[in-house]
Amino acid sequence: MGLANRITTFFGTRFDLDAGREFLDKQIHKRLPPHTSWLHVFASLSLLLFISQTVTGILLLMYYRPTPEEAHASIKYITGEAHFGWLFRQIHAWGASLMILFVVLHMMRTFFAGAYKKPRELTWITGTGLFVITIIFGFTGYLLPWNQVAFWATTVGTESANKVPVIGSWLQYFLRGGDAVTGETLSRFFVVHVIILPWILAGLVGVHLFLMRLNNLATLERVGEEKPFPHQCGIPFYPVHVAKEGAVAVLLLAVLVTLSVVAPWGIGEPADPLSTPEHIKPEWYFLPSYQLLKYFEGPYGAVVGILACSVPFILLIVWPFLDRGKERHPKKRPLAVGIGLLGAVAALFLGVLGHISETDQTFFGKRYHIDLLGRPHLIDENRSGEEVPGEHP
Amino acid sequence: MPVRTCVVGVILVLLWVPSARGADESKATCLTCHPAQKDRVVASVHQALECRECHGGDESYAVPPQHLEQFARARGGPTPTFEHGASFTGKPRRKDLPAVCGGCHADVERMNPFGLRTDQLARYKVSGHGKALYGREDERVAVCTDCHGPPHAVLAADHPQSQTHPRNVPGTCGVCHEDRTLMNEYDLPVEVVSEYRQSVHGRLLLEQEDTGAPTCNTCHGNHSATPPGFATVGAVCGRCHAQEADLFASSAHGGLEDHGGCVACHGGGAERHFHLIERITTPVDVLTARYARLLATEPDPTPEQVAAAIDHDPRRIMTQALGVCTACHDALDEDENLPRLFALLDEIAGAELRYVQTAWRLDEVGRGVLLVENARFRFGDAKTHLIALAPLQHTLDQSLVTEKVSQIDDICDEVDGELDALEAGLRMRYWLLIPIWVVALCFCGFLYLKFRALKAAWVRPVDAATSAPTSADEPPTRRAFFNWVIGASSAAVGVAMGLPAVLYLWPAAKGGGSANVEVPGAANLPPGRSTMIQVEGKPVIVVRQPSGFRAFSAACTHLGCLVKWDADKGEFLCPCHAAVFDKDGGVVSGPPPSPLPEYSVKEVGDQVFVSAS
Repeated sequence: MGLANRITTFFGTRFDLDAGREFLDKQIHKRLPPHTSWLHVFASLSLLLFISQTVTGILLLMYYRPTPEEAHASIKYITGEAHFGWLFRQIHAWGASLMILFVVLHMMRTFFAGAYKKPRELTWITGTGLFVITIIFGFTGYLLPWNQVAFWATTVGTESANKVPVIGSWLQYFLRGGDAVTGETLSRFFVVHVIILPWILAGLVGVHLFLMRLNNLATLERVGEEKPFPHQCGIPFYPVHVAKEGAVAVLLLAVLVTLSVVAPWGIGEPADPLSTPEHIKPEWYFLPSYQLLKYFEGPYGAVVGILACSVPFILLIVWPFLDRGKERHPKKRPLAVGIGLLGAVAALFLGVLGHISETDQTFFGKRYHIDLLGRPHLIDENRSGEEVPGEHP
Repeated sequence: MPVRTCVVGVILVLLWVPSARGADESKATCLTCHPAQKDRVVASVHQALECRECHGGDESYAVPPQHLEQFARARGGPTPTFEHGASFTGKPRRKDLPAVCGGCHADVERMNPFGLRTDQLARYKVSGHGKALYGREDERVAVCTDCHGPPHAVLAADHPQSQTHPRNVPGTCGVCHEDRTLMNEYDLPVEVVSEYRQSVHGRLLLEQEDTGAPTCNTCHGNHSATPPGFATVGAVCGRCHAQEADLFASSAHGGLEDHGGCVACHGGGAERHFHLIERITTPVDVLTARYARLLATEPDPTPEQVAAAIDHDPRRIMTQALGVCTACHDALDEDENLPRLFALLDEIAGAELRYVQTAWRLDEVGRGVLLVENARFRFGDAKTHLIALAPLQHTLDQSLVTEKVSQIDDICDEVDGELDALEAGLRMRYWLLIPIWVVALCFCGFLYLKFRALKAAWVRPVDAATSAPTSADEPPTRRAFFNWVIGASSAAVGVAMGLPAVLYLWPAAKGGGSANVEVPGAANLPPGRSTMIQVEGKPVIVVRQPSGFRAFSAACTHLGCLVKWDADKGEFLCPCHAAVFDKDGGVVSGPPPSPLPEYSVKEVGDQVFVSAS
């Protein structure tokens, strides 16, 4: 009797292996609707990136030290001295950006395909929760290298918490663990980033996947009029859909490594609480909110701005209950698709404005200075540049 | 009898009360009637002085009560004047003020506790101000209180609000020296203060708030015309710029009889403004700022673009912009000295540009993903040489400048070389991408083909749902090949991801070989005693034995507990399992399998060094 048989017998005489095997078989061979498209891979790529973030994150934790004195030096050590440390740090940094990108793409597909409608409202809401948590992951992780950009982006980011009505100052004090961004902030951001959020995310992913499995993927048929597809026409999750996702996943890994090599994230200068570098901007996924906030000034304006920034998130959560139409096909939901497109274009537009604000850009052969609010001003080439103090005439 | 005693007592008390009150008021004398002066004096350096020390008067003098009543009645209206006693001198006259202040400030015994100089009055007398006051009885010139503040509110010179605080001195002097009408009468230039404010010194002091920068009195002396040790104000530059002054004196210019001094070149151009002292060449930090600005818009500039942006051509500045050289030398073509000077200046400008470019590159690379600490450390020497280079140009000696410049160039070459090597290492990573993409694309392609094959085998098209399966399973040989490729690719990807992770977890070797670690306080270690140090992270016990210092690994060879030196027995003891090692580290008793490894010890003078080798 072979070893494998002996092990099977050992467990078989103690547990109902057949029932388990049957359940697993059913699950992994479950048939997905026939139309399941290439766009469906955004979801599994997000999950793959979460796994990649977890693995690289654990590796980084081996050498990272979350104190103001040592954080930057430990990042230097990881990047410059530990074997392949640069690779894991770069994959982690780029993976964060890509993860948010794929979560957004996945949400857009779900939205435009009307997949959030009954009976999948809860799947959508947990998905929105996953989106928010992914963003908080990005925000808390950004501080950890403790370099100038990280420090000041966090200072500015937590400053806007102050504008939240009524509880703003308490919220800011709580987020920072004090009046300013200090070692206390680093500690709590670290704990949130590596202890609290991963478990919440993993739990929510579990619920999300469970709900997805329970209701299967949505089709484009009207709510309540879905016809069950013939079993033989469904696409088995394993091995068919998995092969498809595997093909894309391999490309994603190659892209991650390429980005890590070609466009590495710098170590930056160590955080200096007494000197703010010029042109501090948040990461790309915060740029729309960052730009939107600029248009609201004054004590009341700031409050309105914060509310305006939270509207999209609230809308996302309650959307399945606002849009109760039976139609799923985007062509038959002009209003919802219109709002969705408008939101996406607005976010893109604000993001681009945020990116180019306070810089000089060339359009059609002319130099423009883009001001804080994103308005272009033609630069007079004949005027000399700003004088440097102490310069000789 | 008791009644009479009581009455007398009451009368005595009544008599005493008014006299007591009078005594009180006469004690508070001056401030009773002159309360406004009180607060000012209290906030000043002279708070401990009594009024009579400047204004005269007798200590026992008491203000008569009727004067006080008169004074009280007149409150709000014109106050009556009184005789303040025989020795009262009143408000000092302007021309007497230096003497009044000098009453204390020229008194060594009085000033000694405060650490103040006592030659101010004597110096004032030989200054322009003092000569006019005492020689021509001109009372419009500055006396003590004009510069040191209102008479009752004199503040220490280091008080930020003091008129004599370095940052306030130009304003204080400017009260008179910027007054055109007043200065015209003395035939003095009125632009001196405004020129000073524009000068390198003025900007440093007033804009950058560097109180170490010279202000008016730094060159003109605190109370006299020149600071001690200098014949004329024009010669004081060397007080701070000692190296430049020495080098200049040794140069061809310094040997000239009438070389015009420092202002000949630094006095704001050919017209020689003595207060518009200026650097001639552009400071390195400004060059750095210009270079950074260029690089922000033009990441890969040509040498011409760099030259235009840097705008650092000493030749142009010295001749066209400032006319420094042409003020004395003839037209450029005919004077044979100028080309030599320009060659020297060009060399300095070249070194400065090189420094700026290397510094920028070092910063830029350091912000990226490479560790540039070693290069940065080395580059610190270049800065030292660059600082030493500027004074050297005063010698006009090409060989000295060339030597310094070549030192800077060498360091920049070295740093550039190190950065090149680091960046080349970074580019090596690009090669990694080729195998990664080859594997990824093959893997992806085969997975796609597999997906197509699987779909054909497992899934029936929707429109053909009712008919029989259209295609059979893929041919067995093809399936086996697919599975083999996919399996191999999976293994390759697994290794490619797993191996770096394992290597990453393996601690990176600490470079540098076996370092010599100094034993702290070795000289004071009594014979027979031991001390514990760490060498490359490992515990080492150093014992001063009769034969000299010896060092052993302190980790017991049994289970790694730290051994102790028993000075009485001359043995090492391990506290964990009572093992004993002799003074040479050999095992005497207990479980240790081998002797304690010995470290090598070097004695250099009083210092003792231990190393692993």
